[in-house]
Amino acid sequence: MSEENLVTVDKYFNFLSEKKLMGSKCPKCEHIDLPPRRLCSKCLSESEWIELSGKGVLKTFSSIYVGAKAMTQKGYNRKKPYVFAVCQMDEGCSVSGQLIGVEEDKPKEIPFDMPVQVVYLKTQTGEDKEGNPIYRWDVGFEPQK
Amino acid sequence: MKKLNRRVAVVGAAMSKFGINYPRLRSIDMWQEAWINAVKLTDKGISPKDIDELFLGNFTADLFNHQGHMAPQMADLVGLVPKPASRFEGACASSGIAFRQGVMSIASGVNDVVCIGGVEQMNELNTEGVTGALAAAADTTYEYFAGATFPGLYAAIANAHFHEFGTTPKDLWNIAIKAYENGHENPFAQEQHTLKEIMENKKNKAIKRGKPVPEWKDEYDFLGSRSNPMIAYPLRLFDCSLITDGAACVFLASEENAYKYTDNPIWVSGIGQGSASLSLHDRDGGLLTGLNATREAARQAYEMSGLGPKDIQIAEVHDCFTIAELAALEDLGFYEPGKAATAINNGETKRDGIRPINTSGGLKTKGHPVGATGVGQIVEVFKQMRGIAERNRQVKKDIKIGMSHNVGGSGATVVVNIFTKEKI
Repeated sequence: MSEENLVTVDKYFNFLSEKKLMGSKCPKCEHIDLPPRRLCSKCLSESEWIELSGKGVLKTFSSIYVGAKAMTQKGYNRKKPYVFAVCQMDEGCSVSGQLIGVEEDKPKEIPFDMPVQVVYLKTQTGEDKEGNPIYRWDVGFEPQK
Repeated sequence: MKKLNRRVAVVGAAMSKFGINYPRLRSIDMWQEAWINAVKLTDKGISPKDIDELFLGNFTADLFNHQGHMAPQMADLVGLVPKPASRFEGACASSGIAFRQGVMSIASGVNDVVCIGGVEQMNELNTEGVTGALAAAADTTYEYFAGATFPGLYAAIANAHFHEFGTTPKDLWNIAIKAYENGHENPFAQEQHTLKEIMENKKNKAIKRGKPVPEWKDEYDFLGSRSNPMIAYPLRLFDCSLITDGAACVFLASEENAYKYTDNPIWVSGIGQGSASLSLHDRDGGLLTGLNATREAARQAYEMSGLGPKDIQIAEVHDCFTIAELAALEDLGFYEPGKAATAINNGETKRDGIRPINTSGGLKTKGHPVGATGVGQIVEVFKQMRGIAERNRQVKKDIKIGMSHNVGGSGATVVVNIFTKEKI
């Protein structure tokens, strides 16, 4: 495996910043992992990058009223909760992300197994030397349109 | 799962008072208190010169108190230097892991008598700081920026359980109500008020402040009210365990040495430890209504002891949230998945029930000083099996077989131990 194609965390996040959802696919057993893994989670063969459909279903979630600092910094609070979700992608792999486009304060009305699609959400994590914001990009979800 | 190469017994066990001890008492003070209490509860006494090694559980004094390298510090305080002293970290299962390593060190023949400790001083930080430090036990790379918090992760487990089995908030509140009843009987617990007393105190406060006095029909009415705010749907404040300072200490000896310290050793007849992905989303088989690592740890402990779930008379299980206790009862095999709620509602897990669970009050009211929790659970099992649990907490029947179950994070590390009065 050339350095260029190596499955690494940094490359995964760089793909996300380009709004590309890249998982890893095992050339031997064809299992797909997301978040990607260099070693296939089923057979430990060396995996390769694969672009995913970005479509999946909601497996479980919570509307969070007392949030993680990364979320309270975005203005979420007791009166304005956000949804932490675990979704299974059509390719079989599961990943966590914020679920947007739903009524966060009415969690009973958010349906399990609802079809979702990936959105790309950014969080400011710091500033560079010139004072420009530095962002990281994460997977999020919204209901399929 | 093979048997231990030689038998190992708990010969003494005790804890410090759990609570908001900082700054009045710090790790250094609480650890010495736990040690003194454990020596007192070792029938024939024990001295540092008898002890070969210290195994210390601590999650993250690094983040809570800017203190790493804690094992020799604690060893020095109780006269154990220059003997080996090591710290074990597995989030909230840290001292559970330390205990298992200590047991194996005796079984291997390397040690004859060891001390297992657990210590955590959390209240030096405010709630936001504690939450931030605890978040290090989740997957910082992929979960944290998705908004995961510990209540949030267990809330996602609860929500999946509600969806799959029709579990309700009221089922979880019965777990909380029991925890307050038991904590009330534990002089070492952080929260010793019953829920009714807490409700009464809230009313009195409102009267004093000249505010409208809340009226609740009963505990359920209170738990469903605004006085019990939502933290992470479906979990509310009273579904969550406490932020606690505390320490706990256990002495273990080989069969050949145990009777030097007591005529009634409690045998460690089964140990098990399981692991799972750090993140909830990567759990093998996509299990979201329970913990695979609990099932694995329990399988090992049952196999080693030759016992099964039906044999366990009491258990201290890891109730960092009410849903965690419910899931544990199913994962440990006491009830089929989806069936624990009915048993809880029927009172089977109360002090006078078929199989009392968390007679100490559990993490919910005894408190949850994360790195001390695993050993703290063993202290309660030891007291119940010896018949020396304080106040009205002692289970009336003779407890011959007990269990402790200690979880790290959202279930990535789990330790299960089975204790017996008889040699197995």
